[in-house]
Amino acid sequence: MKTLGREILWNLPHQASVVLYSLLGVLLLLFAWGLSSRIRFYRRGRPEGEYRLDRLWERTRDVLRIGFCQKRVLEKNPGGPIHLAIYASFIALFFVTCAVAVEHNLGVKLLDGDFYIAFKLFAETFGIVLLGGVVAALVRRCILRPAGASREWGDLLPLLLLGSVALTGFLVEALRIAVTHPAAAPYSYAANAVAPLLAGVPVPDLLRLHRGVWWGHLLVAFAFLMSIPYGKMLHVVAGPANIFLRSYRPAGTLQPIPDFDARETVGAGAIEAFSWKQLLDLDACARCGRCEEVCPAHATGKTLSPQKMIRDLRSEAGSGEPNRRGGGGGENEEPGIEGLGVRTADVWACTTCGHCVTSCPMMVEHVEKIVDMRRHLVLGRSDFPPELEQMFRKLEVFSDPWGFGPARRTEWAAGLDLKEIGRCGSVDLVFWVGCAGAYEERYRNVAVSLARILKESGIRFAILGSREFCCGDFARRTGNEYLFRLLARKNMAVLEEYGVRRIVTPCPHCYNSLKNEYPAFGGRFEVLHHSELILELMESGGIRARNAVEKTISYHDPCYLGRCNGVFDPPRRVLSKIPGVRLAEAERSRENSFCCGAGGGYLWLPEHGSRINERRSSELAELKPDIVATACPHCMYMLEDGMASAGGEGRIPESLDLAEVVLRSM
Amino acid sequence: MKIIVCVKQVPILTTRTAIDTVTNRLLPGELVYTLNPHDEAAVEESLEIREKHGGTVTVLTYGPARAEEVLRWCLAMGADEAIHILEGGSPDRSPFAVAHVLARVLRGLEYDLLLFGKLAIDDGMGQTGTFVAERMDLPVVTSVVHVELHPGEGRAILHRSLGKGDREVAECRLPAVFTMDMQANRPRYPTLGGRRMAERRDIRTIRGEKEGEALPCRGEIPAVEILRRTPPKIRPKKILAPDENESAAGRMQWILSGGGTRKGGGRITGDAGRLAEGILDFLKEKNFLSRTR
Repeated sequence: MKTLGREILWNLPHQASVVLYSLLGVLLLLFAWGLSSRIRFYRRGRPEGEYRLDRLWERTRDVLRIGFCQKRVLEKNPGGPIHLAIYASFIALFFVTCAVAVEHNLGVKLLDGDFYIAFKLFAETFGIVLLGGVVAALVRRCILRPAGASREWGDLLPLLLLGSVALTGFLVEALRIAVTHPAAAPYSYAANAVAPLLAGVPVPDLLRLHRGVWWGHLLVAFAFLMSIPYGKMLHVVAGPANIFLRSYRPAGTLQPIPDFDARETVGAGAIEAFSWKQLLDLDACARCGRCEEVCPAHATGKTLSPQKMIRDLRSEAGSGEPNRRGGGGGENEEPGIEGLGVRTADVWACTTCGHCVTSCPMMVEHVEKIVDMRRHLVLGRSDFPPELEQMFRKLEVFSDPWGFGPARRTEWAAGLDLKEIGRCGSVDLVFWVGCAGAYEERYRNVAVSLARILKESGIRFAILGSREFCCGDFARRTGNEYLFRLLARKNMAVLEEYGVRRIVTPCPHCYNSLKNEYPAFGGRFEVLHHSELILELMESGGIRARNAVEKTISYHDPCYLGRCNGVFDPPRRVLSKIPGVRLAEAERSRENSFCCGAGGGYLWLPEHGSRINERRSSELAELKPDIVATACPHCMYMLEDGMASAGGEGRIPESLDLAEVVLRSM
Repeated sequence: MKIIVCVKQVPILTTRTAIDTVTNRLLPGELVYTLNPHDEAAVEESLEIREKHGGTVTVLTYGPARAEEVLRWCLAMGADEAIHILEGGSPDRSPFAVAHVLARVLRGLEYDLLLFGKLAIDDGMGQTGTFVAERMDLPVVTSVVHVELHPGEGRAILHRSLGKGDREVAECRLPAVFTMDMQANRPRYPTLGGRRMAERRDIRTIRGEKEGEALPCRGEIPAVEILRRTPPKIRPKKILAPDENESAAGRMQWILSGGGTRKGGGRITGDAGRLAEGILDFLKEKNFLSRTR
């Protein structure tokens, strides 16, 4: 019986295998050298503030799901499928090569019979998929040019190398078929289709050409493998590692700083001030541009791009050269952080909405780094926008960002006859009003509405009155950790004094701080957002939405409620329980909601260029709702302003809080 | 260069922070205190001088225990040392009495320059620095917005703010007392390192009773007596706009010159003797001084 297999290293001198394996040895050495230099780089980082080797099962599952199965990669078209094509065929062809190596070296006659046919079909198919993927990726990057996809050599080279590997592979196969006409030729369907084109060429030329192309195939393949630790392809190694070491904190929340009270410096002013995990992040980045695509600052023309920031940090850290942008002293240079390659304007352009973090297929944590750089600017260099300084000083002196002071904290509740903690019996719930509810003229009505709802429900609740202070969210996210801790401790002292066990608040920023960040200060209480409590009350019959509200309502997800804390459904379910309400879902909603432009202290900063709140407002206005409902004070006034200036022609939708809509129906 | 900056902790009265919403009365217990902004500018100025010419910065305050907060703030800004003259029971807080106590303490200290804020935003007297200078027999320049020191020559060039954008340039020998205007600079915001430093530093405490607070020099300290209080005269608000027919530059000049809001009255010029005489004449003419009392 005629064997179907093929002679390995056919048409090549017997020294070929010696050269091949010597080259492989060199390749492995270079690969190992590259990886070890990256590991040395991570070791330059400070210790990590978070233990990242717990939940081993969950971590493994995430590596398989997000890494191996490309869950997040596939969320985007056409980038996701294109990546999958290249990624899957790379793995498949790697195994194909391994199978050949096994047969050649171990002397096992593996590639024969039906297995060889299947092997041929498999290799041929994935070769085509790889080529198709590479071509599609090149077309996307160079011709379609979507925002965020760069055309730098570092991004194109891996594609060109992989494409060449596939092309030379087919050519070698076609040349072999043209000379030997093997029985299994039809199964190498692609190469077999090319082979007849070579029919007229004399055999010695074909043999020479075959040898040349074979060496070419080998070299481009090795070049590709060798480039992995030295360029963006490092993501194939660093990416899964990064996913494994991911944080399970809610997106946008920040790590506690364990030994803060003993520290003289904080934040990142040099690459060594990042943790090793943050440095690993830099390598895990595959420059896919998803973070840039969803970034509200980037979308409105700010120079901040999370992707570019990661890339700049990496190239700056690797170069060891004095910074190009910061500290150079040239007239036209933008102020920046020396040694990091990041412009200070970009550090302040982030709203900490966390969308970059949740959209990153490699679980890179951008926001934490930005806040670390802010900490350096605020607490290390005392160099930050003057608008923030006013806010900081007011927070420190008055304990609220507007500077009204504790004596006026209960003004909003005049005439409501609310109980104040310490001046009443025990209560089941503390109503955390927040600074906006206490002082902000428009938002006071929300505090009043929620208080009315709570009174109607008969729940025993109290407010903290003049003993409530700012939760410290703005201070923390603008890098003033010192002030945040000052406020957190003040608040914790009060909460502990009265043994508070359950808190409801209408502000997602207070909610996030109390729920996720106060536990580090000993906070042991349940925190509810008012949407969760209202839903609970509606379902238990504590309150009833009797009157119809015949309105179309579009609900805007606040970042710190939705994306960061996963509270997507309660507000929607509350609204849908109100008779007459028609919900109009925005295109960007839930996990993909677009920031209002107030988070991360951005409320206090001047916004240059087009405005985030106007962008979001015009998106919502397109749905032609009667009411834009939200569940966050800052979103509310951002959208109210945005609607007025960018809401388009005709009627301007009302900007209301959930509690106000609920109260209308009661 | 050894610099001593005298600072004061003041309640913030510009916001209705401490008003009982029911009785509409001030709640002294809920007053919010801060470092007097003109004093903060003086601290900032001293730190900038230290950065340029070297030396030390000492902050000094005379006040109750809570005034320690402002000393800590100054230390966090970068001051080297802090002295707290602890106020006793209910001392005379008039500028003259305060200057008396400050001067007694200052006599025991070494300095090349004394800085004050031009006035405190609570009582707005603006006299303490001048009184201290008089007691210490030092030259004084008030409302300083710009300091140019020539320590080698023992002199300083100063810009004084005269309001409405007018400046007076003065030269003064050292040591001297300058009272700073908050427009002079933008005080720094403390870094974390500064805060830690402030937490660690010891504050030297001096008991006010021992330094002549409240008791001595009767006869020397004029007993300031408040005879009556009148609410401010309600004046219709006039908003003057520049003449539209004027050129842009002309309008700008008009605005910069203080516009149409310039008040009546003259300006006394000349040397110190002439100035004092002029002021006396004015006071006599307007019947502020009477021989009968």
